[in-house]
Amino acid sequence: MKTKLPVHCPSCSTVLTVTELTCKSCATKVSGSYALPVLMRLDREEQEFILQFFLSSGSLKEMSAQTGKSYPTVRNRLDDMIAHIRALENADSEKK
Amino acid sequence: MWKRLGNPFAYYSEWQLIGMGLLALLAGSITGWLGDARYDGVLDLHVGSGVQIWRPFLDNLVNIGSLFAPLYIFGLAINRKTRLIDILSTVLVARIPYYGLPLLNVSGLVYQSSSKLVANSMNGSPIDGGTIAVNIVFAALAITAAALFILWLFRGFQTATNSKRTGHRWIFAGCILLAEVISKLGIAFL
Repeated sequence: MKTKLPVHCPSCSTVLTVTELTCKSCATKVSGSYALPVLMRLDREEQEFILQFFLSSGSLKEMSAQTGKSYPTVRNRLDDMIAHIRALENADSEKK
Repeated sequence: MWKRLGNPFAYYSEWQLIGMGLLALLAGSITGWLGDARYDGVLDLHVGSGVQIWRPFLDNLVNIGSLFAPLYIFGLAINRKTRLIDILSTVLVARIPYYGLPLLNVSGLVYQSSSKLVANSMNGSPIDGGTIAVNIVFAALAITAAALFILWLFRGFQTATNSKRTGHRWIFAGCILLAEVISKLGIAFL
């Protein structure tokens, strides 16, 4: 069963931070506080869109043909995601 | 299927939509001639008698141009990436619901019924059930066509411009009213 990496706290909806990483082969654990990269903070649909966009060689036309959605619909989705990613990056730079 | 019908602009390519719209324009112009109808405004359809074959086609061209211009200008103001072909396909497809209505008047039924309704109402004569029924059915279909026209025009415009703000809806409504005025003037002078 494929599990989904949670990004937001189920209790207060704040973005989660990675505090522990484990090596599967030797059980070494690494502790710290690591902010999730921007790409990891996107929802599953957005991540799949980016992957599909990449696999279509960045061609919205090809993506439109593959997904069965019209070109402006696919373009609008991309524009919305660009705005979302910029908002996340701006929020990160404000925290610094 | 209902999703596609509700917003065909999200699913069909611009060329499929243009093709549909142009075929419908041609068919609608023919039905207009057969049904003695004039598309004398972007929101209007009036039945009469003795309509020449080229008149409904010219009416439709004026209506399409009148709708396209303000919507394209407004679309570019909202989003510089708005494409001409998306607004054009929206306008062409949105008008499809109107094109079937003239078929109800092929035998002059709607025109005669509405004339009788008006005349009898003016001179106080009784109006038969058949006349009332024809007028009610035509009115109901015309209102449905107008509602579908507005819905498709809005959905197509939203898809073409990625418009999200509530304020844009008011300006969109203003564009339709402006298009109505432009089309009325254009058709009157041509």
